Amino acid sequence: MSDLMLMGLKLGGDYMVEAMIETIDLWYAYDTVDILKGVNFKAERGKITLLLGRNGAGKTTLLLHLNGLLKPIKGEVRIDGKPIRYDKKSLIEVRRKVGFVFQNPDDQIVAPTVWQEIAFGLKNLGMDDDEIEIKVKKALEWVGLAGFENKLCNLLSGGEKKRVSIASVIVMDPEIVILDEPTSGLDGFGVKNVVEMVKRMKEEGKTLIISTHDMDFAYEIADKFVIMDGGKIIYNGKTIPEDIAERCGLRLWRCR
Amino acid sequence: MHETFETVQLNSRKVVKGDLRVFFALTSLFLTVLSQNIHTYVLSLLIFSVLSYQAAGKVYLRILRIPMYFLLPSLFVVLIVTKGEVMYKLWIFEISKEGVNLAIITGLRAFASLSILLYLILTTTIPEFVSALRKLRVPEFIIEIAVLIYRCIQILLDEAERLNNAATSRLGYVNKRRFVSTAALLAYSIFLKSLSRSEKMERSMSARCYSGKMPVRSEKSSGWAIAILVLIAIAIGCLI
Repeated sequence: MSDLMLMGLKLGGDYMVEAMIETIDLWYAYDTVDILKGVNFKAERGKITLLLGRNGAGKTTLLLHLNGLLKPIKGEVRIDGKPIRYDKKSLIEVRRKVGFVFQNPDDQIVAPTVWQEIAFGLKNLGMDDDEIEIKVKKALEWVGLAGFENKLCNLLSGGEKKRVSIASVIVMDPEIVILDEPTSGLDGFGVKNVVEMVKRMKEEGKTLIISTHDMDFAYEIADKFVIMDGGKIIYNGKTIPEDIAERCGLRLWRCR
Repeated sequence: MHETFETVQLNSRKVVKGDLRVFFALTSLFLTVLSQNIHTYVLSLLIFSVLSYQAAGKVYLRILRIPMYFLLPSLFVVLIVTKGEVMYKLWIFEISKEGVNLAIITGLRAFASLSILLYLILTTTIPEFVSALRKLRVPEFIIEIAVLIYRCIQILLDEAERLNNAATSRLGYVNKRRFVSTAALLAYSIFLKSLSRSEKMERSMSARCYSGKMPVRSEKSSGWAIAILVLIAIAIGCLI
């Protein structure tokens, strides 16, 4: 039995290769500047979709829409074919289904201790304390931080903070996990850890959407590449054409 | 890395553990402050100084030094302004027998209370303290606000340290004039950063279905024997 299933984070058995989350003609603007210009994005169930593009291409803005953290000015986000609604109850359902790991763990960590941080989402989902205790313990084991329960988050290293932020999302058992530049600021060991965790999540049947600039990392894990530029998706495929990579400032020289 | 209260609290040796430690310290403080008996003050000072030194070593003495700068001048004022039978006269200052008594009692009471508070501070992290408050049935919103404020202070201090390092590395404090200018810039930047951080924090909480509940964890209490013995000793001290 897989680790996630042992954690009580078992997944349903009806996974088919189909679009699990998609955006239809998504538009968004900060003030008067258009950031997303009619984005049609699609991530398949159980696959790892890599979102690439230069800084300011609109990757993070797109990802924030997938969790309902931003509301589009035009277009819609669909999960399992159903458009998401933005009332409080519907958003809780969306966020239960779609977990979001922020780029900077310091932006994500909201509680002072590791235990509190990981228990935060579970408490908000209304779980009882005994269940929370068991799930937090197993989530910490899953990310290799067993025994860190009482540590203060601000005293952790960058790699440990990243693992705590992943654990705090995984413990909520989302079907879709979004990771915004998960390897930024990590050393080689940290990146290796993230790669292992991503692969394990995929094995457990999670759908992963990851934005990154780290092409070694991308080639290691990707099932599909989506490249954004100027607020639009300009490429969608299983390899990265060199001309597009060059045009979008993707660093390919070590991966060629 | 420099030593902070948090690292001291986490690394301190604790003979009384869990929520019991908070209740133990607060009850001792309550008894000591209410007592009119000098024996209680001496007993509390001795017991909690030993416990604090055992828990945090020299850090206890280092921290105890800080309130002394305020306490000793205050005791001197008490000594000279209390009227009574004059024992000694120095220039315009008259020291009376009543003044000496009052200064000793006030000093002992203050140091005894300080030693108890420092024991609590040196051994208990804020989340542990909040967990004990929850046991006392403090309303949930107060606990939520306390935990969030504590996390915001951690973030703010991290930011301040980063900005301070950036300023120091570029000679931001090279002279008094630059010091003032850099400090002003730093305060402004921290304000802006705190606004941006608060937005990100709110976003992070929303992403995990925030509903106004903040989890708090209680550690299993132990060290009952020591806590009860000390409390009995202080209570007897009150009755003598």
